Amino acid sequence: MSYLVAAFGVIWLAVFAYVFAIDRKCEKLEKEIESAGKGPKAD
Amino acid sequence: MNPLEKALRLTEHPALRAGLFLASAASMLAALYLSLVWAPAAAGETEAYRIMYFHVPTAIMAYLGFFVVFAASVGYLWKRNLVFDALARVGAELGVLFCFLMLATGMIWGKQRWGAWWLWEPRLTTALILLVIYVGYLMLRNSVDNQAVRARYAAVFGIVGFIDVPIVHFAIKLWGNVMHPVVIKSASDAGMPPEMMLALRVSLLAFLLTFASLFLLRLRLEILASTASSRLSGETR
Amino acid sequence: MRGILRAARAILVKDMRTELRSREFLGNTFMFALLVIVIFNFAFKINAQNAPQLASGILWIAFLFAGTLGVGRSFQAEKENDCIQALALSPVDRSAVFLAKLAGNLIFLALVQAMVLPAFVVLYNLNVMENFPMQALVFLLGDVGFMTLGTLVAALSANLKAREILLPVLLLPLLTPLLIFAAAATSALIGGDDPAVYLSRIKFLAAFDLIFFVVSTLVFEYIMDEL
Repeated sequence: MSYLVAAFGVIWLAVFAYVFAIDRKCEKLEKEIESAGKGPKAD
Repeated sequence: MNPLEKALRLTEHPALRAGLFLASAASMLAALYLSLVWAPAAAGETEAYRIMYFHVPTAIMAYLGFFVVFAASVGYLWKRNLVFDALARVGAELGVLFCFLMLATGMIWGKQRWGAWWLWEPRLTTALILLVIYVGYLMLRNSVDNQAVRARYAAVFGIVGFIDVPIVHFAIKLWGNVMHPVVIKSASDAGMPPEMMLALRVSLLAFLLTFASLFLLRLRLEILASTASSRLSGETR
Repeated sequence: MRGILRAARAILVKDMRTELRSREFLGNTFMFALLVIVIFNFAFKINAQNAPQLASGILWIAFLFAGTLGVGRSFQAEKENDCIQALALSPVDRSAVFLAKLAGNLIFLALVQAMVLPAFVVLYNLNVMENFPMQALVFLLGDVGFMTLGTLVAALSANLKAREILLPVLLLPLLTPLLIFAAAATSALIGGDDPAVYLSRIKFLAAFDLIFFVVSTLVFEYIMDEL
């Protein structure tokens, strides 16, 4: 039984960690695009 | 508008993303219930046999991911459209993820069933070599800076690597039989009762939908990254 | 077709000439292969009982390592001297460049093997050349498959930042079937097995060579454009 739990733990931890990592990167990029899209403020 | 941004519009359609997410969540719940509670216990196996309902779909998803790499690589060399390159990258990453999951769940099951985490059995060994080939593919991608060059190199390696897959499996079968003639058959080879078959089918569907949602999510990241780099480089010009 | 072969020969002759002017690399690679064989002896404690089982694998590992060092160089001189652009601009088919590099790498590997084999026979006290024509065929087919993929991956990795480590990391997994077929064929020949055993393995080797020769020649031009 503990093997069963371990197997599911591995699957869901991996998938959620992956989704979470992607989501964070997406958010970061979206912010970057937004700030870049607002025009040449940096100069 | 570059072709990647066109693809972005399609994948960003909220109905598509939300629908896929809901469908995968619902089917995954159904699969969990069917395989963990509803499916009958297998004769002569402990409860750990139920790992099979998730192990087999992860294996199929891994091969699906690697097939996407191959198809997209051929597409890139043919059409020179960077959308194909993004597809290949996403396919490789998901393939590696599911290949890792296939190995991990397989090893956990094997520890319970065979008493060892690992046997040098043809299927396991093939999966390991596959993982190494596609991690190499991702390493290759990470070590080229120029986008067009990276797309080309990756496409060539993606094609050669995928053609190697069946040959690796065939060779390892030959080698495995020479070393130890007993080839352990997995549970899915036995004639299964219809309930088990149904649970496996539902689980497969759930993983397919999850694969699709992950694919869209990851593709969006790829597209955002390319938009960001093109916007930023446009800004500095 | 004849034009391609003539161009390939010209490139090959040029490569051989530059290689001959500094012969040291061949000698260094031979020393390396010899060392692999010697070191495996320490690792496994080779004796008369286990030698027939282990020897063919050790021999092929030595070839793979030495050959990987060799192919890594095949595009390096061209890159360093910016000759690759001249090659790319020359009005010959891309496959001529591939064939020339493949032939050069094959000759290099065959020379290393010719030097390593006598040493191996003496050190391991095994007559590898029991069935000489068949064993030579195994070496030839193994070398062709190895160098076909080797030349392709060397071209891929010539531009990369971590070239020295990526070449073996990308190449060796692709070569697993070749290593299995070749080592099994060599060991069947050493052990004096039934001809049907080694003949079937030689057939697999030939099929491997054919598949990857066709694929590599087709995809090489895409790398050549970006070298």
